[in-house]
Amino acid sequence: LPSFPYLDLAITFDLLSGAVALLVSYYAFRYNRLIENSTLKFISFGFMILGLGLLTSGAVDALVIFGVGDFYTDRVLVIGASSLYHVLEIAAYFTFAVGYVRAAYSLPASPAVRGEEESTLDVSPKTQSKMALIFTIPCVLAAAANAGIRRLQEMMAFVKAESLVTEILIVVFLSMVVFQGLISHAQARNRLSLFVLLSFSLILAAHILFLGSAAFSSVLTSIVAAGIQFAGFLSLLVFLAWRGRFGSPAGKAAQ
Amino acid sequence: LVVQPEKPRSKIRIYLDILQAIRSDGGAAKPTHILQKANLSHDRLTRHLGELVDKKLVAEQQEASGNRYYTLTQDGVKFLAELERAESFVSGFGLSF
Repeated sequence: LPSFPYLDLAITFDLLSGAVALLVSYYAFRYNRLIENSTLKFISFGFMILGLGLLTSGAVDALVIFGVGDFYTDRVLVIGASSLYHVLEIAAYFTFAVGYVRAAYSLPASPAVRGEEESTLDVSPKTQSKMALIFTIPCVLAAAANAGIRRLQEMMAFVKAESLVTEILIVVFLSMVVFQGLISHAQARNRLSLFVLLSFSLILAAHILFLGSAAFSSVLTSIVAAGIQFAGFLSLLVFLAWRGRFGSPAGKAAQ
Repeated sequence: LVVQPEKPRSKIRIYLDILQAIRSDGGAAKPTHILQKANLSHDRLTRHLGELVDKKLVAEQQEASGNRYYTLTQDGVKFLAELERAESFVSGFGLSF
């Protein structure tokens, strides 16, 4: 497994990004209680499910790397977590897109981990035959194991197709969010809106790379994409820190 | 050419404007100063200032000459800081209140 250390890095990115997403969700929830802005509800809900998805995916991938179960259990765990993460990601970015569009007209295991898991843990027919030789078990058990692996391969193919569809949907939703963010920044022209625009733009760029990674099964691309996505969440963290400074009277004076 | 009417300020936005107006006068401001800086009519200013006094965010004081002025309470200072942080947060997402 040559990319194993990078997989660790991608998992760390996922967990840290998830924590930042939950922090943004918390502040959006807190300020919504204060000022009652419906778009803040969308932002809070979107970041909450995105954060939970990232944390779940990262945690499951970390558990699998440290080997919590047998081969089959690990695969099922990864596929299950990956599918759950996809659903949550689509829901989160759809929520952002709807929230932004409403605001504009009534007045977005990381994919890197997924990519790596797909390539490093792919069960080729050669591997199956080696496994059959190594594990000389009774015929019935071997047949059952083989059937299980075939089923896993079908599931892996399904996961790959699912990844492609997920990434296409996310790129569409995030493009809408970035477009609205661009308009907002053009109007507001402050550093805070720039940080948010930068953040969503980086996450969009990351998902375009994730799409490429899913299409061409490129592990390296997915690692780079995970790094870019993490940079996007770091930008959100800088936004939160900057906003804290801004909120104080001293910060206002500095403005 | 269609000119959209400006969205009316929310109550919380008016609170923020009043609290900022008091702070900009050094933490104690006369009603006329608040009225000008927060861009409010006399009636609305009286109503909103009364609400802020009831919530103990602003305190009403009287000079020896009989002139009234308003000061920010400790809670008022904290509430103002929180509102400004909320304003910064929503402005980052291109929103306003």
